[in-house]
Amino acid sequence: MIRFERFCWRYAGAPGPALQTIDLQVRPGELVVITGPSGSGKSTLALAMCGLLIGRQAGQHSGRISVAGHDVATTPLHTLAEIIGLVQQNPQAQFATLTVTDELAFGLENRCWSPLQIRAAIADAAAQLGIGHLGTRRLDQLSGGEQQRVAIASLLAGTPRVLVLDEPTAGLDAQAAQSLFHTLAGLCARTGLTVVIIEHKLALLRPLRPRLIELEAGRVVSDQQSLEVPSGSPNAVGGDGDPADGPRPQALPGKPLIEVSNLTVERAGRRVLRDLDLVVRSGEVVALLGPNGGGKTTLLHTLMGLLPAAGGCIRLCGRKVTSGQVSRLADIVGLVFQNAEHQLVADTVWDEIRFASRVLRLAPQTVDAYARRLLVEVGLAGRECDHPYRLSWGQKRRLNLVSVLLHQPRVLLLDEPFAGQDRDHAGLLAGVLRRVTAGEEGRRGVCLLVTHDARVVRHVCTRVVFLVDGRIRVDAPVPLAFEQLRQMGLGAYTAT
Amino acid sequence: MCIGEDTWLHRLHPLTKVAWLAWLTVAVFLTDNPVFCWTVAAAAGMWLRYAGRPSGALAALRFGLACAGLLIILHVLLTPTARPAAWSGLVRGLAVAGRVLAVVLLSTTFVATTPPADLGQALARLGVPYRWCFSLTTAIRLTSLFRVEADQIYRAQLARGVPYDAGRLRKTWLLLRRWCLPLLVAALRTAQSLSWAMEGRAFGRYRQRTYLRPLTTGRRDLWAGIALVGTLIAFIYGRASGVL
Repeated sequence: MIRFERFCWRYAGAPGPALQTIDLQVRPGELVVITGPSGSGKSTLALAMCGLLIGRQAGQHSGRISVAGHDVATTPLHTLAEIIGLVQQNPQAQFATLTVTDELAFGLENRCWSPLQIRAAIADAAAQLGIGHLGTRRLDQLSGGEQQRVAIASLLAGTPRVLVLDEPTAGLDAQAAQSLFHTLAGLCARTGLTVVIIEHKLALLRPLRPRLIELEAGRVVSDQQSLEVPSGSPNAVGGDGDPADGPRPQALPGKPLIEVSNLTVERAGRRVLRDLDLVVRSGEVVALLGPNGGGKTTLLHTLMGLLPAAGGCIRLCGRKVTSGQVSRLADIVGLVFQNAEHQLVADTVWDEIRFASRVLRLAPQTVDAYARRLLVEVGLAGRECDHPYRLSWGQKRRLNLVSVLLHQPRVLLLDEPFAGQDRDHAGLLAGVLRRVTAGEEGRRGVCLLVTHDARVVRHVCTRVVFLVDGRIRVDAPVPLAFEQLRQMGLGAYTAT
Repeated sequence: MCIGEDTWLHRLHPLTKVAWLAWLTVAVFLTDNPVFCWTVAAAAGMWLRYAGRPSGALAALRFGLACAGLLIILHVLLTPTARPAAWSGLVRGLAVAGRVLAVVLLSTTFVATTPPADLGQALARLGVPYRWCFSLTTAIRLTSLFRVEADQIYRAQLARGVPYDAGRLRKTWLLLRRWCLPLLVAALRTAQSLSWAMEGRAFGRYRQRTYLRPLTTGRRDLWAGIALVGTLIAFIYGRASGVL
């Protein structure tokens, strides 16, 4: 169905090729998972097979790609689009209309299908993805999982033969991700659809026994036909010989640094957090788990004072937090957002990492040596003069984290800092986190970490807080919390 | 933005509504009669209320009333000399204020009762290339996305210690310096994603496209058309007789 023959690609101005001598064949009806470290060329491979690379991006290629016998380089995109469809990471950014029905009908209307044909096709696609009940709902009012399903159904309605999904579960909680993977595997089995998934969350894919292709530095380094995904997968933290292995921070009873009592937060008329009580003591690394919309990000933002509380009280390091005084909290709190680019404020990597210390007027002699050390630790040494936007996504993510560490805030609030990190770099970040919270740089701190990766939780955190509908359902040390989650039928959150 | 509601106004053909919007907008600018302008504004207000109090309607009403009030005050104050002049200033002010309020409420009613996709379809039926017509829907989609993105960037940078919560002048300078680039980058990425997603679903492949719900004209459009012609004749008569 898809054939790469000695395919190479180099982006214009890039120092090296993004893809090197790829020889690959995907058969009809296969479920294929492509994985690899950040920057290994996975997304470039996806764009290449969907006809969105050659002739559409600045660069040079050699070799050949064909999809269902069509040469990708010479076939018009609209012809390819009838055979192969690409679902991108952020479903919101690929919606062309405003409601579910309009979105499902969009591609078919463009192909001049009759209303009767369109109705039948979208009903079929919606049934296959389990979204028939969404009807004419507004797209911006759907959950992340529902949006991703609508994005897939809008392509499926046009009955393509291949579906390529680029990290489709990036914004989904473990349960939604698991459910989506099962739906895709079902489609493969039932309809003979070829599905290619670019993914880091291999633990959830293991039961589906897909074909696993690993990329590294633009090359295929492993191709396991219908084998079980090994638990020590290359993108996970932990595993044998993993640099993330090491002494987990000990939750010794320390001074409470985060004190939340009766916290209630409302957004757009909806109660997102309800009477929440939470105390986190120095030295603790707390994993915030839970389904999408459970209130995890809202809790982090409220702690920072970015969102007003409708009720309750927050104290960080003994200081009462009120909204509207956010920049004044920067000395004691470091918050890393989900999107790596949102927090970039400076023109060079060096200025970026020193930004907070400059705002806080710390003496350069006290921070520069530490800044250089942090850059070396996370693999950014030598990039000091580069613009932050020139870094890869994974590098930006690491820069985000070290940028909030330099002035040694005692409270770290991290929203999915490990997303998109390969094993080695995730290990580096984990090591830095452990050291910071253990107080090796000075006083012990705390860390609240939002993540969907159970492996990260197992290897980095001391405690789990599981939020559902703005309420804490589980609050316990990691092994006990995982046991409780499994008993509650939420084993997807503990899958490693 | 109109989604989900279903009233008589919503079911009118978009071109019927365009015709009414164009006609009444021109009419309030053709006359200085405050009674006529305020009548049109009141009618638009009633239609808006009938449309189910869509989101943004209250903001539009507040904006329209604020503008109207300001215009009345300015005309009363700035019309020179004594009482007769002040009276004429008030009359003139009322006419201008009614005109502004009518235009604000008419356009809000139109937007609130016309799905962008339907308007695009109606324009495509008139021969406008559908790629252009679709830009309206796309713009609305992207606007809401950018609003969320802009808010997130603002908060993310605030958390980094950028003192957006300092004085207003400093905030403006900081917004220009720190906030615009990430927003631009995010906008370009989103636009690229969207264009890939649209082209990947055959957008622009053919000169024409079909529609899941083809627009049709009905009896209500006929009555609305007759009413439009009726008001047009009445207006011409009013102008000719010096009433308007």
